[in-house]
Order: sequence, then C-alpha cells, then structure tokens
Amino acid sequence: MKKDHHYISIDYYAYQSGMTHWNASCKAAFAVAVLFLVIALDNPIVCILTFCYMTYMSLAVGKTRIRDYLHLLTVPAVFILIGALTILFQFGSGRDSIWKIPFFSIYMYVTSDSLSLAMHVIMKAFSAVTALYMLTLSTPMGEIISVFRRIHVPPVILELMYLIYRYIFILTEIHQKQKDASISRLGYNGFATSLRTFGSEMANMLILSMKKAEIYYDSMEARGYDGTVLFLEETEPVCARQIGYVIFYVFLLIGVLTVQKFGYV
Amino acid sequence: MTEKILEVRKLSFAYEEKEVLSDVSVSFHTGEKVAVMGANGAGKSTFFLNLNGVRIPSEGEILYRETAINKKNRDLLRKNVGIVFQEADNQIVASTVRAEVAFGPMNMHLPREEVLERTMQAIGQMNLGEYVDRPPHYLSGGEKKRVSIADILAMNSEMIIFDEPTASLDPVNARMLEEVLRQIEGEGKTILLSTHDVDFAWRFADRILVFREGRLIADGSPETIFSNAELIEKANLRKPVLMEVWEILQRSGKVSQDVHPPKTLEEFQEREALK
Repeated sequence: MKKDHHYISIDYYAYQSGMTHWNASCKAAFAVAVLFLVIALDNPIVCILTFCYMTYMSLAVGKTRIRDYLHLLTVPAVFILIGALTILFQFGSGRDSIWKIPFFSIYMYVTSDSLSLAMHVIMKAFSAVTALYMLTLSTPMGEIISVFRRIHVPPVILELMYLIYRYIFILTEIHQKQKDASISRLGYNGFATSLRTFGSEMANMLILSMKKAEIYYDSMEARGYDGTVLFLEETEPVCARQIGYVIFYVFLLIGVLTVQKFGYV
Repeated sequence: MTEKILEVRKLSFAYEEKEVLSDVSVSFHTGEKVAVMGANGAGKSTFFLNLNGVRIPSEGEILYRETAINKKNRDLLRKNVGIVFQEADNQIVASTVRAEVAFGPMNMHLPREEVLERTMQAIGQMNLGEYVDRPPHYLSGGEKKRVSIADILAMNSEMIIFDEPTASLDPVNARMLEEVLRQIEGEGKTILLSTHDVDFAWRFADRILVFREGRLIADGSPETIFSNAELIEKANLRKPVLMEVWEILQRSGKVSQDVHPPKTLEEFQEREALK
C-alpha cells in the first residue's frame, strides 16, 4: 500500500515503524533535546555520533528501508549543501586564502575559516536532520499533534493540523486522477501545454475544495460538531527499551566529550 | 408497538432564492424501513440534511417525538438521527479509524470510558477490528464505507439515514451492506435510505417515498408504488425485475393471480420449489 510519492511514504513509515508504539512525548523530547545539543555544542564529533546513532535508530530499530532513508536525506541535503557553498566561497581580494580563482576584477576564494565553518554547518545540519527524522519516521501525525497539545499550542492550530493532514491525502488523490485524465487527453505533451493543463487542474481543484469544504462541514455538524474539534487520543506508556536508547545515547555522548577533553582527538 | 419518532409538517427549504423542497409532510415510526426515491436533484439529500438538523427549514416544522425542533434543541435531531453520507471520504476526518469512529461520541461529550466502549462496539459490528490504528487513507473503498457506517453506529441514533449506500459498491460489498442493514433493523432502529436501485428498494423497503422537483409525490408500500405506471414514469423510475417477471408468469397462467410478487430471488426460488 506504499505510494511512490516520497512525501507520503514518511507517513507510511510512521505507522509501520518499530518505534511507533513508543511514548510520543518521550520521542519528541529526545529528538528536540538532541537537536539543541548538536547545535549548541558545535562539536564535530558529537555531530558524527548523533548522525550515526539516529540513523541506526531509524534504520535498525524503526526498520526504515535504507534506499528510502537515503532518498529522504537528499531533500535537506540540497538545501544544506547550497547553504554551505555560500558560506564556503567568498568574494574579494583573496588575502589569506587557501584557494582562489579570478572572478571578474576580484577573486572568489576559500579561507581555512570559511572551510571550517562550512564543514561545521554541514555536520550540524545533517545530524539535526537525522534526529528529526528519527521522530517523524516513527510517530504518526495524530500523536505528534497530541504532543503539541501537551505543550499548549493553541487549539486552532491543532485543529488545522488534523484537518490539513487528512485533506492532503484526499487532494493528492484527486490530483492524481485529474492528471491521469489530462494525460489521456494529451494535456502534458510539451512544456507550454503542460503548464496550461496544470493551471486548469489547480483552478478546478480550488473549486472542488471549496465545495468539499462545505460538505465536510455538513458531515461534521451532522455528528455533533459544535465548533471544537475533539479527537480521541491514545497514549502509550514509556517503555524500558525506549529509555534504554536514550540513556545509551547520553552515555556515548559523555564518553565522547570526556575523551575529547582529556585525550587527543 | 411502534412509536412516531419524527414528524415533518409542511417543510420547505430554499437555497439562494431557489426552492429545493416544497411543502413536504411525512412521519416516521420505529422499526420502519423506508426507501426514498426520485430523480437526481429531486431534493432527497437536502431532505435528509433537514431531518438531522444540519439544514434549517425555511418554512414548516419538524417534531422529534412530539417535541417541536427549534434553535435550542436542534441537537436532539443530531443525536438521534444519523446520516451516512454517500462518499465515505466526505465524512471521514480523523487520522486513525479509532479516532474517526469516536468522533461522534466525543462530540457528545460522553465520558472517556463510554466513548471507548461505543467506539469499539461499532468497530466490532463492522468488522474493522484489525484496522483500528490505521489511517483512513490507507483503506480501500469498501473498508472506508464500513468506517463511515461505524461512525454513525457509535452514536446510537434511533434513526439512521443512508444516502445512496450501494452506489459504487461491488456486488459482494453491496451484499455485505444489505447484511448490515438487516443487523441494524434487528436492533429496532428506523432506517431511511435513498437509492436508484429499484430492485434493492423492492427487496428492502416496507415503505417508499417518491420525490420529484422538491415535492413528495408518493408515499406507500412498494406494491402500490410500483403498480402505478404513471407515477413510475413521472419519477424516472422503473418496475422491479421480479415484479415484471412475476406479472409475465401471471399473464401466461403459470402462477395464480392472487399471489403477490416475491420480494427476493430466494423467495422466488422457494415458491418454485414448492410446485
């Protein structure tokens, strides 16, 4: 039942993960804490540790497919690398550079500082991304929303999240059908035609969505909706295994920091 | 002993200057099985939405168990009259099947244990046990339909309305749906459904309402309604197959004139076997 759009398959993994039945608040707290740690400590070894640990959790414990995991990393990778490149390359006189090439009347160059900064940014960003993927690949949307509720995010935002999440799937399904119908009528032959077809499809989708919104409202009202969205939420107790992984990470972290301080790395 | 649950008096409903329902009067009692028929756009769906309080009549009134419905007690309708919409996707809002079926009871602000009890009972009734934690978008059409029915079962309404329940269902799923209707009937609930399937209405209903251009033009037993050729033509209907076949047999003398047409294929087979 896995669709081939990858933004949908994160959701699919969230339900199939080996970590799905772990306590959601615990997972979220762990992931976010690690995220802050990685950024605050600014320590390359911590970043590598985090990257490996979180990847291990997603792949081995969560049972995500390696191919899909790598594909999922490519999207943030693009952004991270573009950002790193802009940090890496500087423009100017080229003094103190370790590498430079002429660029019109000035130079484009790299300094050891900019290189080091770029490397740090890449490592921090990637390890932060893996920490978040550990959370999103193992936690269904409904549970993430219940974590938000616990930290007192305004109810309006939670309601929007629930409904938008549900409707994303309906919209993509409708769009797929529209696209199939258009392709069968040669709507995607050539760039200009494709653009025109896509525009018409989106306009139609807007109208369909507005009509459907009215119908949804009716059906929610028909079941007693009185203005507050109330969904049943389930909570899993925190399990020993989950705590074990958290503690082990902390243990490794302390170990790495200690070795760095007292040894030579 | 049947009680009158719902009474509709001279109901009219207009939408943006256009009158969609005119002067409709009808009553519903416990245990009834009513099929509502009529051309597309005749006003059936709007009629249903009026019955459960989602739409407010422009004229006329609705009484629930002799209590006139007004702004303040509209919830009476919503709690006791449930609608299963034609498209399950138009009804399903939550991110797991369990949360979805619990939506109605949660909105009634019932205590959590009761919500869970009703939810799991409805889920069991519709054989959705293995799907409880699954998100609805990973279910097939037939499964989604079962979820939309479980949604309403969990609300324990006295009257359940099905808007074209067999539309887009394959024969196996349609048969399962009829099975579910039998179950619900067995619990003493009133069932109202709209359908274009004349043979299904013949099999299922003990009473048929016919709508045309917003007006209720007929209200009677299936035998009466389907014997009225003029009515059938006016309302874009046709005679049920079993009825036609029976009349052919009657005309050729193979069966007696006094015997009523069989309601189901099984009944027909039984009668043939007795000969």
